[in-house]
Amino acid sequence: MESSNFADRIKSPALRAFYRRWRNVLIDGDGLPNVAVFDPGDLAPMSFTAAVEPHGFRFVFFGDRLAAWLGESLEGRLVQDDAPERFGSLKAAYRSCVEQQVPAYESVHFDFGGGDTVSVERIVVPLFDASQGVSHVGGAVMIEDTDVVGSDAAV
Amino acid sequence: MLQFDASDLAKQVEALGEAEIDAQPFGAIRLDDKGAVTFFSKAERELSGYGARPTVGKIFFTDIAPCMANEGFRGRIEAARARGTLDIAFSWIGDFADRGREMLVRIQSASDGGVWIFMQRPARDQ
Repeated sequence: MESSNFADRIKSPALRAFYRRWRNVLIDGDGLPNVAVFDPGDLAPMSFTAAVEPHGFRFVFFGDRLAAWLGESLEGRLVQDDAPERFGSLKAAYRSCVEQQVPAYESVHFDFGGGDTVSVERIVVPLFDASQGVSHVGGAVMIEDTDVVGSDAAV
Repeated sequence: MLQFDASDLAKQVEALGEAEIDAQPFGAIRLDDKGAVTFFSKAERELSGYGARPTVGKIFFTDIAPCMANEGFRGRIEAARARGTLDIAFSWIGDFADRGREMLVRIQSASDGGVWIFMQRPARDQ
């Protein structure tokens, strides 16, 4: 299961390392990447974990740098899985992770004009429980914002 | 055929007639300043294969990720929309089952205050 195509298209070296960490567990570990032991490494402040619930996904961990950028932590927040969108939304990425048990990567570049830009990259990976089902999705986000000096490190 | 990555894609599309827009290899949707769909290209109708039309505009502004939904960020989007300078490029890549497949979306200001959404999907046989 060569993943070079997927990994090579992840722009952020940090997110690429996050993906490879997950993949190394999948390929070389003792089992499927387990939610209880998967370690996002240095990206923990920019990472999140959401539990799969009957009608959506509930954040059980929300990194402090993500919370700082957003202005609030989403820990405990339910993302309802009732929208029809097939892509673009967090729900769709989560659903893809759960149903296909594969990672998803998204990048968005916002150009507001006048040199004001924001670039966001997000990777979402399936995390498994002892029953080997997808019980959680984990991910990390990198943000570069021209309006925030050093945002990539401060998000 | 127009280049999907052209910096002035919306302007180029607006210079075309509906039949020419329909003939492009990517889908095109136009929303007015209230977010209502005012144009839906034939390519988009054929390629999308699902019925998310009324909500497709919303997702890029409010639902890309909760991390994007703070007031300051929304304000910058709205300001760019008002100025007519909004340009968003979105890509999605799946691993394994969809290895190498990449969906690309562009959102650019329309001349009437709304926005254009352009979607380029991978060929089914890739």
